[in-house]
Amino acid sequence: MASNPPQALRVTFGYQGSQVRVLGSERVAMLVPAPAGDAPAAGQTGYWLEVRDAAGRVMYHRPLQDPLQTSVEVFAPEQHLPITRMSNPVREGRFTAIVPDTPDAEVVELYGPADPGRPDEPSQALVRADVARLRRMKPP
Amino acid sequence: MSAADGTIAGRQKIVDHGPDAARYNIVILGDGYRAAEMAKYHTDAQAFVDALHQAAPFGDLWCALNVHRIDVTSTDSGADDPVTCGDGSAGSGAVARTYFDSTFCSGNAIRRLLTCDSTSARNVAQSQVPATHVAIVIVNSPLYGGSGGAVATFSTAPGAVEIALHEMGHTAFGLADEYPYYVGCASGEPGHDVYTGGEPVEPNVTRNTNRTTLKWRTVLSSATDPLPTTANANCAQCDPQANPHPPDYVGLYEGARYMHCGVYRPAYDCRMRTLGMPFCGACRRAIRVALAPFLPAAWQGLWWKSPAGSESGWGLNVAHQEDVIFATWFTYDATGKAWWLSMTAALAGGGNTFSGALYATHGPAFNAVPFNPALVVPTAVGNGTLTFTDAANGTFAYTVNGITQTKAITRQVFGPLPTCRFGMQQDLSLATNYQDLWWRSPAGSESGWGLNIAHQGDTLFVTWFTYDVDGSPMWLSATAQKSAPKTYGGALYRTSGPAFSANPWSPAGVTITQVGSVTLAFADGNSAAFAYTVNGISQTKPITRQVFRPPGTVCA
Repeated sequence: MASNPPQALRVTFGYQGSQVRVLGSERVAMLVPAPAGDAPAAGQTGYWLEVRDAAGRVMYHRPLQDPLQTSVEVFAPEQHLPITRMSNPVREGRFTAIVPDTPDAEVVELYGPADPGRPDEPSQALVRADVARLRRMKPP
Repeated sequence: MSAADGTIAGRQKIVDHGPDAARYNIVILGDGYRAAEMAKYHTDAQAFVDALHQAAPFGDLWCALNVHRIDVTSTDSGADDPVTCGDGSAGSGAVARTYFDSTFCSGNAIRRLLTCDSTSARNVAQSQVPATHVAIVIVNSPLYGGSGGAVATFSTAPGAVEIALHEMGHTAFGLADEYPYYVGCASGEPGHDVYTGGEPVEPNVTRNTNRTTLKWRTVLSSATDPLPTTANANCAQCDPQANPHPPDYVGLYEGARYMHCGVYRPAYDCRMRTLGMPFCGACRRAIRVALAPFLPAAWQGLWWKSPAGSESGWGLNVAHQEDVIFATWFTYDATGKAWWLSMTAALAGGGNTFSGALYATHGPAFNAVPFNPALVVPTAVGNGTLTFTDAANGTFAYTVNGITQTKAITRQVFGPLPTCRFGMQQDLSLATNYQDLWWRSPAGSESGWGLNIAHQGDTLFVTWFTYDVDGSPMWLSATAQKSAPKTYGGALYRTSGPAFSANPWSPAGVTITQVGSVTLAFADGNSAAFAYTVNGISQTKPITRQVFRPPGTVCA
C-alpha cells in the first residue's frame, strides 16, 4: 500500500427543518466514489455535494439521495407489490458525506432545495465550508 | 434499549480485497442477536454477501469491495413489535433489549417500517472500520421489514435483503427512485401528474430526451430506436402499457421519481423501481463508475512481451476506461513494414479479460490537408483477447489473418510507473500525467489517427498511429524528454521488423530510422500542441484526450 494513502473528509451535517449546518468533520484515509455524470448545472434539482478549487472549478461532485429524510420508503414482502413512500414527520437529524481531501480542494458546498418540502425547485447552495476549516474540525 | 443492552464482540473482514484505504468498505452490523446466536448472525451476514455478489454489477466489481462484519450481541433476540400500529396491524407486543433498539412500526405508521438507532449503528461502524463507506444492519427477526436512510436496515425474512440492495442504490450510489408515485398507482393520490422541475441530479432519471446528451447514452440498447421509448398517454395516472422491448432494454421510459409524466427512467423495470428486479443498465453503469476508483488500477499504459525486452520492437498501448479497452498494437506486417492494428475490447468475464475484433485501417496520409475522417476505412482482420493476471502482467491472445498466437505481456517500464484509475478526475484539464490516448481537437474532427502517450517521470514514449502517403497504416514513435515545463521533445522514428507472426520473434531484426522530430507542448492536462516534422513536412495539430467512457481515465 502506498505510504501516502488517499485522504477524504467525512463531514457530518445536522439539519433542523430547512436549516443545514456542518457539525463536524474528520480526515480518513479512504477513497471516494466517482460521480457518474457531469457536474451539476444551475437549475438542477436534488441534493449534491461539490468540492471546488481556489479558482472555483468543480473538482468533485456527488449526488445525495434525500439526506434530510423528508420521506421514508415502505416495502412489501410480496416483491412485485409497489414500494411506497410516506412523509417523515421527523424534521431534524444528521447525515454524513465523504468528499476527497486533495491539496487543491478549497471549499465544500452542499446543494439542495431551499424548502425540503419542495424538492422539484432548483437547488441552491445550502452550506459552504472551507476545506481548511474542515480539516481542523473533529467529528461531533 | 441501547448500547447498554449488548456488546461489541468482535470484528471480521469477511471479504478482503486489500487495504481499506483503497477499497469500498461495506460494514455489516447485527441487532437482536444474543451471544448464543452469533453463528446465525454469521450465516445471515454471509447471505447478504452472497446476495450482493449475485446482484449485477457487483460480481464484476467484487475486487473493489471489502466487507466487514461487526459482531454485536444484544441482550434479547429480535426487535420491538408493538401490539398495535397505525396501519391497523397487530403485533406480538415483544419488547426486545437490543443494542441498536430496532423496532417495527417505527413512528407508529406501518408495521413493516423497521428502523434502528442509525446514528449509533453508523458510529459503531466508523469506530470499528474508519474507512466505512456504507453500513447496513441485519435485524434478527423473521418478520418482514426494513428501511433506508443513513443505514439500511432489514430483517431476516425471505426477500428482505432486497431492501438493503435498493437502499444501497440510494445511499451509496445516489440513485433515484424510479417508481412514478408515492403511495401507489391505484391510490388516486394527487400531485404526481407532471414533473415540472429542472433536470434531476441523480444519474438514473432525467427530463432530457436528447439521445446525444442523455445521461445514460453510452448504455442505450439502440442507437436508432426512437426516444422516448414509451410515453404516458394519460398523465393523471401511471402508464399501464407493457414493455415493448425485452426486460433488459435500456431506453427512455416516461414515469419516474414519483411522477407520472415529464421525467424518465432508463428501463421498464429496475431494482430502483421494484424490489427483486435486477439493476437496470443505467444503474449498473452508475454503480460501476462509482466503484471504479476502488478497483485495482486500470490496465492503461504501454505493454510489451514478457520477459521485458525479449521482443523489443513491438508493443501494445492500452487505453482503459470503465469496462472498455481501446488497444493499439504496433507491430509489423508480413513484409516487415510497420503495421498497427486496433481493437475495442469489452470486458468479457470477471474483471480481467477483454475481447474484441482486431482491425487494420487505411486512411488519408498523415500530412493530408484537410484530413478527412470519412476516408478512414477499418477492415476486420481477426480478434484479440487481453487477460491481465496482475497489475503488471497478462497475456495477449490473437488471431490475425488466420494465424493464432498467444504472448505473455508485461508493462514496459522506463521510469516511475504511474497508477491509472478510471473516473478519478472529472476535469481532465487538471491532470498532470499525460498517459492516455489522444486525438485531434476538437474531439472527433480527425477520427482515424491518434497518439498513445506513456508518461513515466519526465519521459514520454509516444506512438503515433497514422497513415503513410499511400494510405496504408503507419506508426512512428518517439522518446520525448521534458525540455521545459509541460513541454517534451525528441526524435521521431520509423521502424521495421519481423512480421508479427514470426516465431521466434527476434529483436535483432528491428531497424529504426529517424524520419524527423516531435514536440508536445501541453497547455493543460487535456490540451496540447502536437508539432512534428516528418521527412521534411512540418505540421502542428491541437490534440485532446480521447474519452470513450466519460469522464475518462487519468494516471498519477
